[in-house]
Amino acid sequence: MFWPISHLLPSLTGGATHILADAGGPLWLLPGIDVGPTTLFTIGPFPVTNTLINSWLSMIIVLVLFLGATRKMAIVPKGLQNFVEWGAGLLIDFCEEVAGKPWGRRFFPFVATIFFYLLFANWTEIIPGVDSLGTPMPGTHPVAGIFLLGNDSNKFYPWVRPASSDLNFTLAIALISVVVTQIYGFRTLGFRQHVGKYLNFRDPIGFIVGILEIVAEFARIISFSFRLFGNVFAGDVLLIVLGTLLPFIGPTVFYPLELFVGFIQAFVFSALTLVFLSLAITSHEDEHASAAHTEHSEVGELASADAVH
Amino acid sequence: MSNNPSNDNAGFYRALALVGQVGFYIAVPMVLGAFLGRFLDNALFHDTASLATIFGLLLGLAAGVALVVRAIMRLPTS
Amino acid sequence: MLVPHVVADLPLGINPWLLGAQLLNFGILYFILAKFAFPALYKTLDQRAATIRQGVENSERAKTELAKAQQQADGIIQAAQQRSQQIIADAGTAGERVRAQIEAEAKARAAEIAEQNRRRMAQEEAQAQNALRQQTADLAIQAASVVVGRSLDNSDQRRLVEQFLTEVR
Repeated sequence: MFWPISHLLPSLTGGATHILADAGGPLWLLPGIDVGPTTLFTIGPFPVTNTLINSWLSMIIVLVLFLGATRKMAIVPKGLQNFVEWGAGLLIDFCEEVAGKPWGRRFFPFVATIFFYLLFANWTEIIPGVDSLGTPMPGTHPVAGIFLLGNDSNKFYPWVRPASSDLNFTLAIALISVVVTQIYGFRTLGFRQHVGKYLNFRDPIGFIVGILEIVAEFARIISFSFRLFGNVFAGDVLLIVLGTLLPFIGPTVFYPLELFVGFIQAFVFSALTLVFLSLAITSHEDEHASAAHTEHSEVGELASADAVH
Repeated sequence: MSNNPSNDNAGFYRALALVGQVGFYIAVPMVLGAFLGRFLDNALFHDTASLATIFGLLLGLAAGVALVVRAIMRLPTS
Repeated sequence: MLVPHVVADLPLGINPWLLGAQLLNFGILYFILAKFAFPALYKTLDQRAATIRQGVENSERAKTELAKAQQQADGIIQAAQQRSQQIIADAGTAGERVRAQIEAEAKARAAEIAEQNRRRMAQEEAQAQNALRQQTADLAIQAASVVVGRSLDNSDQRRLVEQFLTEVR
């Protein structure tokens, strides 16, 4: 029941790499790539994985930043408070711009939690030691007790791996995003009007559009979770591969790109959540009046783009 | 209306959808290139100095950049 | 504690326990932030916005007040200028009047002095004429006495001489 690519194509990772070719064998191997996270230990039936540890780490970073910044707030901000306020202020402005002033403020805590949680979960990918420190697999022979070289170099279980490179993490947040959007829809429009968005028996075209809306909701869960997962996982693997081929220099060159990608993914996720939230509180009639369909086709585009990859 | 961001900001969300894929566009071809090169190193050159791996990586980078450029070209000019 | 292994309960490494744990993680994070961080953030941002608005209003008010004061000052300066010009003009006419008055007085005084002198001269002339006439009369009487040889009755003589002298004159 494994799904590691290395098992499908053993020859890709099974061979030796001659970075510094010598008769004694290769110095490093390309990493084995596992889509699933690694369970480090279990508590009863509950597996504690390296991605779960990373998500706790990200939570702690976000909490320290925000609680630290808002503990003793001054009218004239400085230091940490200034920094956090700057970021949060931009996001509040964005929320108010997209959803209108009162709704923007109500959506902000949710959108901001998604944004900052994802931001740091993505950015942990560039912390040295993430993906490169771990427990050696059985049967390996660490050099000087801690270093894995040669044929052993990819045979370890990393202790920390970016949370966003775990589908459990991205799927959970995508589910929350979609479910919370539905809850807002029900609460704002009422049961009849909200369900009426999806089940419309008045005319056949409306019925089909409604069914498509339902499909779109599910496509959104997939689109949300796989876009984030795909981008961060691919970036993470890229950093690992470069780190193996060209240690220190290789990954460093791509750190700016990964910082950008991490930020953009967090922003895309939270911005689209915000957009769907503000659509959910708009009734069907208003929606028709505006060009809200553009948004839906946008989702279709994103979803299909994910399906292609 | 402020409640309907789609109307005037369609271009913005289109651009967002594009940059949302940048990480993928760059990273996937590079990783694939690296592993393909590794495969070639092993199979054809009998484990020589990883030249094909590095070549594959660079080829992947070029492909990734080309993908991003193509996607930018497709953006509606606004 | 088990030996680490890759999670693959479901394809793509999805595991219900982990999914649940991640849902819970997000819930906890949201709860703490929404309860402790964001309200404080909003409060501060609103406070600052209010402070800034107040500041802007204050400065606006100060500006209008300054403009008003400036206007007032301008008015006062203008009035003062007008007043001073008025005073200068007044002073000019007053000086003119005083000068004219002094001149008139001086002329009058000069005329008076001239008149006095003329009157005194006339008086002196009359006195001199009188004295001359009397002397002449005395001389004439003396001469006539000599001629006549006797002294004329005083009153007659005098009447005669004086009559003569009056006619001569």
